[in-house]
Amino acid sequence: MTWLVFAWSIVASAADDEGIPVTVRVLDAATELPLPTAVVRHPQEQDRHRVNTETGTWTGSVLYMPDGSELFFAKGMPLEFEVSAPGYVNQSVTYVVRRRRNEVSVRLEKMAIDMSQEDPDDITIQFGRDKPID
Amino acid sequence: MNRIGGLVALGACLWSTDALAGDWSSFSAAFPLLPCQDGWMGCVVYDQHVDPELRRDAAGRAIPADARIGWFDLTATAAFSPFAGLSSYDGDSVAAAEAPEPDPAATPPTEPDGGTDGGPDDRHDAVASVEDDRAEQASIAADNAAANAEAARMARQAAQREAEEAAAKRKEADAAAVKQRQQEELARKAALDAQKRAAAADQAQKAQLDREAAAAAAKASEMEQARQQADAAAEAQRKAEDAARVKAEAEEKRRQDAERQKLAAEEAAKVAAAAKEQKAAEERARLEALKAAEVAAQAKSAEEARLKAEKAAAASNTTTTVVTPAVQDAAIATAAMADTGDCADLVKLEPFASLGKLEPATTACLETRLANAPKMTDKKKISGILMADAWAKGDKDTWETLIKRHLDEIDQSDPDLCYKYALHLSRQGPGRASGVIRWANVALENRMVWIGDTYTSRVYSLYKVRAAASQSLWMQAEDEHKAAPTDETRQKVEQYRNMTKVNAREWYEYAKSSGKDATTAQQLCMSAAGTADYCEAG
Repeated sequence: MTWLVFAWSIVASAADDEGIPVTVRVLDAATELPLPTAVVRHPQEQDRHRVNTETGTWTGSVLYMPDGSELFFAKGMPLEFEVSAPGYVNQSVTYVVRRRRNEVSVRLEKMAIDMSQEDPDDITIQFGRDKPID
Repeated sequence: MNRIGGLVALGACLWSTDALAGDWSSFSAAFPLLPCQDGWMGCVVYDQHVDPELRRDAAGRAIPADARIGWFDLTATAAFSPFAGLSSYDGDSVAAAEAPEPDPAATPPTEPDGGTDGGPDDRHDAVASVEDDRAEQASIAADNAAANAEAARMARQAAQREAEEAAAKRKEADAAAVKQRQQEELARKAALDAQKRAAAADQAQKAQLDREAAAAAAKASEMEQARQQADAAAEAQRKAEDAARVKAEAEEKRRQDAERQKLAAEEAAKVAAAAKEQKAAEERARLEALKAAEVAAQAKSAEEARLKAEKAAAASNTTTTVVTPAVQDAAIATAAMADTGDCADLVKLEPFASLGKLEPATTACLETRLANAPKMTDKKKISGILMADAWAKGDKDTWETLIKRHLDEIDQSDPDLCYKYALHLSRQGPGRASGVIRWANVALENRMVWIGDTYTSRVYSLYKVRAAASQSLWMQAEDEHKAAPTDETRQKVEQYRNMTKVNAREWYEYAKSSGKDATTAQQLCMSAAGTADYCEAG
């Protein structure tokens, strides 16, 4: 029993040193299905973190900044994420880290590019003239 | 005799007393007035008090206080100090007042009985008294002389003692000075020795430090050499890895080039096959046209023959006419085709083409004329008529073929054609997205043909359709990567995402500058870039 407590304390202290894990789950707002092509990114970080293609989730406990510093997730720390996916509207979320069970669900709206106003039938091709017809 | 003995004994006692006791001045040597080495009467040397009283040596024997070494055992006493010099006395010296010597001549002689009468007795008495006075005076004088002699002797002794003491003190002072000089000399020598030893020690230390520095430098150079060797080894390793990587990349590139060439060859073969087929179809159409022309000529000659026959019959009043239904149909058809088979006047064909009323013979004629036209302007006009006819008929496949041929082989300067073609392709699905982007770019290159609202709306539409096509390519690449992730698919995803990002940003910037709706453009740009900073920069 003693060694169990000792091992747990070591793991807990190590976890404190490595940051608290935070899970971001990206879903389709219409279907509530996970988006396998979504990407999670911190505004100050260069890397784009792809979500799991099966679950649509990304879990992280530390971010690596462009200057080489590390940002460990700690309790009470506000985190800002930019979630994007091809064909969906980008979304920024802010989340305050808790001690455990840090799971954030982000729902993305589908992006519709309206091409109805562009109709090739509306374009009339003029016949070329050497001399204009009066 | 008894009287003489008594006098002798008294004299001896007096002499012995004088010899043994005398006065305290005889013991001045045993009780020095200033026993201390610094010339003081009393002092404390270590924890011993020094004063004019007699002192005791180690064995308890009495010795004078100023004795520097013991008389019997020659051991040093408290007064033995070769370094102490005489202390300076800063008080006023007071000379002892001497008591005036009584003048013996001024002392009147004392009369024994008190008065004289001048008789013979008186003279005898006078003589006796004079003789007594003289004897007394002589005695007094003798006493005085003896006293004076004694005083003088005492003074001489005192002076001698003082001189001896002064000499002794001088001697002691000289000895002390000599000793001090010796001590100073010893100290100087010791200092010199110490200095020499210090110098020697410094040199030794310096030599030690030099040795240590040399050893450290040697070690540092060894470490530097080892580091350089390690760096060289790492550099060689890195170069080998780079060479291997370059080789692998070159190999991969060769493989990809071979793959691309293979695909290009297959594509070229397909295109050649399609061109060949098209050529065959055109040839068939030409042959049919020739055949139709031949049939028309035959029908014409048959008609002329019929008319001749009718005329002849009319002349001979006969009403026999031989007309077969097939010939009649062919005649009608030929007449009709004769009206439409002439493609010389393009202007007359334009309204028919706009309505999609061109006959196949005319189309074939136009194709023949297009193939044989020497001028590009003629080709352009003929191709325009054909395209208009195909579009009006709703034959999008034929129209697509015609416009592709027109843009690839004849002319690309008409932005309307490019725009129309890009819009047409954008409705064909993601598979035609590359063509959409290509012809949208060509149309944008020639957008200066448009003016006013036409310019604004069409340029906005071109940016939009191009960005949408990029997004469709990106989404397609993402799906391919999701299904089978590889480095190639990942690179393709990044390539199309960057393309979408760039095109979306251009669309967004033009929408803002032209006053058009920029919401969707901004959303697309942020979706591709992942952040708003890229879209809003600049």
